[in-house]
Amino acid sequence: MSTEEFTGAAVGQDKPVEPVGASSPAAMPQEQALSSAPEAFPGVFVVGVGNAGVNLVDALIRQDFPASSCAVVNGDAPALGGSLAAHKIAMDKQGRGMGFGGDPERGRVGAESCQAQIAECCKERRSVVIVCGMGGGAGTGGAPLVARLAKAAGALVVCLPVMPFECEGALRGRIAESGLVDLRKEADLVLPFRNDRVVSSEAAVSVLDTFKSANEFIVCLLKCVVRAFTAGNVMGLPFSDICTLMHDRADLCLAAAAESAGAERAETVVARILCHPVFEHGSATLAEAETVAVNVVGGTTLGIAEINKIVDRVAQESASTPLVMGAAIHPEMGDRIAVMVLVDFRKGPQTEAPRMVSEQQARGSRMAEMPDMGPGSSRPPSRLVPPPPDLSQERLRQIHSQAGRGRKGAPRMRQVQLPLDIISRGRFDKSEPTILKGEDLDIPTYVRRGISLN
Amino acid sequence: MFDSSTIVVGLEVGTSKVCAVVGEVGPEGALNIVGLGQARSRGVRKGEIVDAGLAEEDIRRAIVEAEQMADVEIRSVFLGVTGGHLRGFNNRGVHPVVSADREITEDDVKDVVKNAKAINIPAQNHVVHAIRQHFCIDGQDGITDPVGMLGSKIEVEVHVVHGIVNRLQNPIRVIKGLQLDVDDIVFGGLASSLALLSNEQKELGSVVIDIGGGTTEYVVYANGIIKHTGVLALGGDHVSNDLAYGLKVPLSRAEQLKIEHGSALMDDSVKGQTLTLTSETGAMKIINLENLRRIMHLRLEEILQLIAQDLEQANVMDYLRGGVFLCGGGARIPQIANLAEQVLGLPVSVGKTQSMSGIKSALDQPEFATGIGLVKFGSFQQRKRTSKSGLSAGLKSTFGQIFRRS
Repeated sequence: MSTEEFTGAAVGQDKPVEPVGASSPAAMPQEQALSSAPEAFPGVFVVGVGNAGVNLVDALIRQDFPASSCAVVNGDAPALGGSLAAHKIAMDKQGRGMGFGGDPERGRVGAESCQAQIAECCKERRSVVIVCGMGGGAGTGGAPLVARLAKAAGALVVCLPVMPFECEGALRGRIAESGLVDLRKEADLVLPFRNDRVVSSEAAVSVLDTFKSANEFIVCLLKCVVRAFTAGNVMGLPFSDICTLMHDRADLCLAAAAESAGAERAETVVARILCHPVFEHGSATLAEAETVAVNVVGGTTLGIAEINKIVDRVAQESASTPLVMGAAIHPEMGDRIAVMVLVDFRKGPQTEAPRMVSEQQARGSRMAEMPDMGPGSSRPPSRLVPPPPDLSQERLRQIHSQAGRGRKGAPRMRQVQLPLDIISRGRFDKSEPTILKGEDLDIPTYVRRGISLN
Repeated sequence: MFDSSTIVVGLEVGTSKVCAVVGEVGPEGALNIVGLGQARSRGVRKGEIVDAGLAEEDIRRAIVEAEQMADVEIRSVFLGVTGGHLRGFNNRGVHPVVSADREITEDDVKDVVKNAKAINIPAQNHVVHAIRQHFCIDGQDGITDPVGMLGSKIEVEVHVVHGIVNRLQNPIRVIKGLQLDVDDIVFGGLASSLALLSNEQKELGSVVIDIGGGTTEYVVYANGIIKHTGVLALGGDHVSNDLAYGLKVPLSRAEQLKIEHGSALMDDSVKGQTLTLTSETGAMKIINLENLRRIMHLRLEEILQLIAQDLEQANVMDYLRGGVFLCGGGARIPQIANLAEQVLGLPVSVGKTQSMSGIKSALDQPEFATGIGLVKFGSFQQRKRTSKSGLSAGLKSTFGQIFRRS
């Protein structure tokens, strides 16, 4: 990591990176040198924006993603300097090497100042994956611009914004949601990850553990996305098509990814997906969706039965929701198998509404919704920390809506099967069930086979 | 007035309809259908009575209608029985020929058949039919009449259809309540096959699939004998129920949709097509025709697949050169024959009732195959009874004694 560690004028220097101007001439030759290097993930380029973005890109590189296919964009010079990514773009024109104080407007201006460098990085990439933390300055302000530049350069842009914890305050939440709206306008597909979903109600879980688990989920998703772009599609839709499809239909799109290896890998991976924090409402979330997309990536040992099992299981959970799938082979996978499930909602899942008030903002016009979100009117509990009755009510609702977070698998199963059992017996309610080989044949065939109606 | 011995009545208490068929047996044994009565069945689910009161009413209506049409008084009926509890299997009986000259006598034949019928079935089960198949003398197979032949060991296979006695008695009890006698009970699938198949088709090897409202029965003939029988407690009701559930419409509406728009196959012409329904309250409901077809297709395909699996297991697939004949209300579903052809891999056609004269409208309907078959069965029995008092008379008396009222 000698020459590749720094961009522009900072090349070869061993002191912390010196932020560079927008039109640094030295960025060009280095860029060319890097793109000629052999890549395991050809055509994919990952850009981390803001501190969170830098951290996540570093985590990705630590998992053997080539550093040369990564760029970090940040205003915070020390964080930038410590990054493993090959391309480092400093956003601060003044060269002070400080952050933007959580102001997205300054973040946007900062990003504009280094437009040329960002555009250069994104040149001739087939797909660009942007990862950023929302709610701060650099990520919220910078990511939409990066997305626009990448798209202008002809790449398919997928964005993985990480939404702040609720306890970080209503203001930060609002900023993040508005950033999400901007991002949706620019990127091809936005797959937000809500940090709140990994919050455990158990007191014993530390902040660091929570961060760690959130990071694991996001990096897994990130990895799955970059892999899905580069894997050779063998079945169903290629990932880029899924992205387009989701973008065309979605107001809100969520994604969950999981990996597994070993003998029971198909079962394990699908179980992991179904209890993924993103889908914590379980089958309800899947069944309420407009579309469900399943992307399976495996090594050369990927079996058709495994694909079948995974898709079948997800189809079962998603009830009548139309399902698209794609399966691909990536040499890097070995005997592992990775599954990514994307769901999209026309108006956002209903269960989301009480918890994520600011979600409305993302759905509708931001301006129209803003007054509702006004100071202290709709969300006082998260702004005022102490009052116990308010907080407990909010908490109650939260707990209510996510009851049994610890044991997600079992209750969800029962929820699906119970109504089916009762309703579908219909006419045969009082007669002896026709059971053959353990199957109750009175239940409609299409239900038992998990075939969805459109 | 007809002499009652020449009148044979078949009564089928089905899931969707009760049907009484009156036949007249001519002096040479020719059968003529002279009357038909039917009523919508309300007290039956999956081929078995669940509401005796309603069933009694429906049976009475059907019988009265048949009586009026045939201008006869019905005293006894041959009753068709079905239900998921009925099972069929083959059993083999062996008997050594002990006479000095090794000639097989009638008594030997009786004994071997008796041995074959000594079967191990649960105590609460009753044998509905024990149908003799071919004899085998010292390993020589395919003998239809061994009397007078020489041999040291005679074997015979019987096909036994048995069911739970209490559930078989339910319809008999209801009929007794109407002051009618039950001559004999007959497995519904067997009756249908008697109505549909000619001797040639039985020799070639054929399957009759009777897709009824609550049950689907199938009977396999090969080399002129019954090889295999089966009942699935699945039928048209299941299709309607699936549609009601899947399309979220009332059951009656689902039934109507099934009849008006149903088909056994999915085809491209229904892609994206919708139907607009108006309920009594004026509310509109849009139904996707593609979904309707898919639900229906999957259910029918499953029923046929289950039959195919069973036939496969019974190792009879290779004997079926005559093809498959469909009957029952399910045979009316458009393209069901094509679907059955796909699933079973055999030529399939909708069965036509054979070798009988009489009311044309009755003979043409696949639904009446069982009723007509019952009459045919009855006419065979009648002929037998004139010569000797056989098994059926014994059966009749057994059931008669149990259920004789006052």
